[in-house]
Amino acid sequence: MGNPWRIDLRTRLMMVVGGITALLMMVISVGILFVWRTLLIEDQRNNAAAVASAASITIIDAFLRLNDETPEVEDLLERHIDNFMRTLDGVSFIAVVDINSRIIAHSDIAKYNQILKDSLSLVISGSVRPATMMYQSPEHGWTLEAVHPLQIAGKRWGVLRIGFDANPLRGQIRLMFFLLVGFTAIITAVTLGILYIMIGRITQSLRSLVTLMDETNLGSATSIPLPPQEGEVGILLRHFDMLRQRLAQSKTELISVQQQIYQAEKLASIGRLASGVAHEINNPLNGIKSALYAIQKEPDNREQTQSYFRLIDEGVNYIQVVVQKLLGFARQQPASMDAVLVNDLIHNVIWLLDYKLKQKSIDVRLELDPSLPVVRADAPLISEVIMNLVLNGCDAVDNGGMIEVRTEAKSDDAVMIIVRDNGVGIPEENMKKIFDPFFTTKGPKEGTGLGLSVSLGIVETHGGTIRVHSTPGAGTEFTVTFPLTKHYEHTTG
Amino acid sequence: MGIAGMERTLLSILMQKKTVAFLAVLMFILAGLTAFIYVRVTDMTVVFRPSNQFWTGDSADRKQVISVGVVSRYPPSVIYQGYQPIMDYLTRSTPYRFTLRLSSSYQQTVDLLANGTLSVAFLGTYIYVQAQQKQAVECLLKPLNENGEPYSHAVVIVRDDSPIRSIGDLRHKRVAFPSKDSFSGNWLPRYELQRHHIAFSDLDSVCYLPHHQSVVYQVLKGTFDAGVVKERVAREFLPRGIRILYTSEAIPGSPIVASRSCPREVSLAVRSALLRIDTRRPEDRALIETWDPEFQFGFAAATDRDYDAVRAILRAVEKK
Repeated sequence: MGNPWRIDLRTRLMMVVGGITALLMMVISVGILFVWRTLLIEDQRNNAAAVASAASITIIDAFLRLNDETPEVEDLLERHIDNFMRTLDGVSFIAVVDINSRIIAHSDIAKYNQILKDSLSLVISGSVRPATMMYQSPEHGWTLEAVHPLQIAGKRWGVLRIGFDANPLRGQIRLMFFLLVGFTAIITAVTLGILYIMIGRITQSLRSLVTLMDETNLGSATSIPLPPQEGEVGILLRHFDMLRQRLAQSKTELISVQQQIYQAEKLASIGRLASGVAHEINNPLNGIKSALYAIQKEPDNREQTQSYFRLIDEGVNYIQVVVQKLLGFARQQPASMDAVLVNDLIHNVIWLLDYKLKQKSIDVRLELDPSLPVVRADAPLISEVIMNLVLNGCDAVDNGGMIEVRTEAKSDDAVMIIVRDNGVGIPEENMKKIFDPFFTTKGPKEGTGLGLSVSLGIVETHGGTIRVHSTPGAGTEFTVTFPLTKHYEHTTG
Repeated sequence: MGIAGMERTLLSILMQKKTVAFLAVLMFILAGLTAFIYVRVTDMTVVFRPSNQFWTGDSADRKQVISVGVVSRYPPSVIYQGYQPIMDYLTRSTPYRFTLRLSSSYQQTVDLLANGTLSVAFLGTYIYVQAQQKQAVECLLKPLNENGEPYSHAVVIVRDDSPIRSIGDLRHKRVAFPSKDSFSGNWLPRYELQRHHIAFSDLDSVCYLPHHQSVVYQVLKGTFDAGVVKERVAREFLPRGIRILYTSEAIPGSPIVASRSCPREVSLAVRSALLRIDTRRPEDRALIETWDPEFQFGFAAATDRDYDAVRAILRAVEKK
């Protein structure tokens, strides 16, 4: 089944492209967010610094006028602070701190005369440069504080500290954050949606192609109808058709070569039959020859001549039968599937092998099921299979051995031919190789090594199987199973 | 269902579980990342970054404090901008700490000198001559001008677009002056007008304003047709729409004086520290560039006799 993580093209593309899009959008959004945030904060800090700077001029002026020691300017700082608080937007507090960190004026009257002792205030009190800072205070929340020294050259009165409400600024940044998050989500979703549709169209074409491929008969000579649109799918389809044509051609060539191999093996089998066949022919020939000699010796003995002619006729007929059976086995013709009676084929093969079997005094036992259904098959090829199996048994047994040939119907859909011998059996290490082409344990003159290989090819061509069971030293059993074709299975009994 | 089918179904369930787990982890990471960015973005903390320079405080040393007065010729902020750097220099260069003490009038500075509140003061030419008559002060220094001469001028100014082309045109015009105790407040009405045969009463209206800058602003605003100021102030405002109509003859620059009660070593320290300024030296030029423009060309030692020219002008007026 392969890798369980293997996922379809659409999901993969969407994950990769969607992931990259989301990542890019996030990077861009975060970049924009931080730049925009920095600009916003810098702008606010500059504004705060400018306000503090402007206010410090007024506060310093107030200090200069306080030097006049006139009563009407004593509350000048308070008046200025009140004015700033009224006119400046978003100011949380204004504090004037003297050089001893004492608050000498504050927008919150309660803070007057407090001495600021925290380290930050001490540092701020000594700072000679304007500065801004931002922090979160329990009293005012987010606060942007601008600090401006109240100083002219070496004359210093203290520092001016103005706190601005930075909560609206934070609100703006939050809004921008959520806008960009939403924007990123929408862009990613839209991209994924477009991808989903586009990839859907591509995969639909591929699925159509797959369906077309599945429906295509590889052996057919007709070309696949190409889709009207050109494109990758069209190209794929065209190349698939070319592949199909090459495959069909290869198959034709393969069948041709296979038939040649079958024929070669058949001729080889015939060679092995030759001695038996010769014996079968030689016996009647000797009789004919003796009869002819007797006729020549006494041409006028009409009664004897008549008797010898009958013997000659019987001999010639017998030879004719032998030759016909041999021809029936050896004939080379295009493969054709005919109704075949398997039992008859077995009888023929055993008859042809009779001499060879008797030479080794082999006990041949036939247990043929008379109710065997008719098989739709190529008769010479099936004969060849039977002959190969019987010959293998013949080679495997010693003199006086036994070969059993059995047929039986397997349920309703197949027939079985079982060839069993009590020979030497097949060693375990050879079991996997016996169907390999050119594998043989016999000498060069005894076998080609193609018998079982060819037999397997023939049986598989007919949709059947060959199973082998062997016990070394006890014998071997080949079981050939042919499927039945409905049309023939009940026509004969 | 065959074994292969079952296998496929199991695999599909397994894959679904893995996919869901993968998506869950992905969503968790995304949510974490978003939360992290949110926290980072909305944390606006900006820490206070102090500069390397710190104000060390007035009382960092235990120097004797010397109060220095300045007549109210300019607004207090302008005086501090221009005179405090001189105080800083003197504090650095002498064993004393010098602090500015502003007054609301020219006369108040003289009074503070007389009662010993002030040890040293920047006086105007006219008020010095007046104070000297009472033996109240001792003249120490006078500033140099851009030519290196110890002189200055009072000038008559008008707006750029004013039709007034000469002193004679001032008849029936509104004229503004700085303090009555300043040279600029006395020179034109008491001397120059008479030289041009114009009676003071021929002027349409006359006003004495607190500072020289006040005079310039009133002329610029058109409240007065002309005004009299120190040349240093007029030059500052030349690019802003005024024109110098008339310039007085050279008079000694505004003196720096010591009170009679001022210890000798203090006045000597002041005198030597300021005379040490040499504008040819780059470090001195850098030092004095923040000082009031009147003092950006150095100083010369002054004696009371240097101001006889002023007295002569005033006497001439009185004789008439």
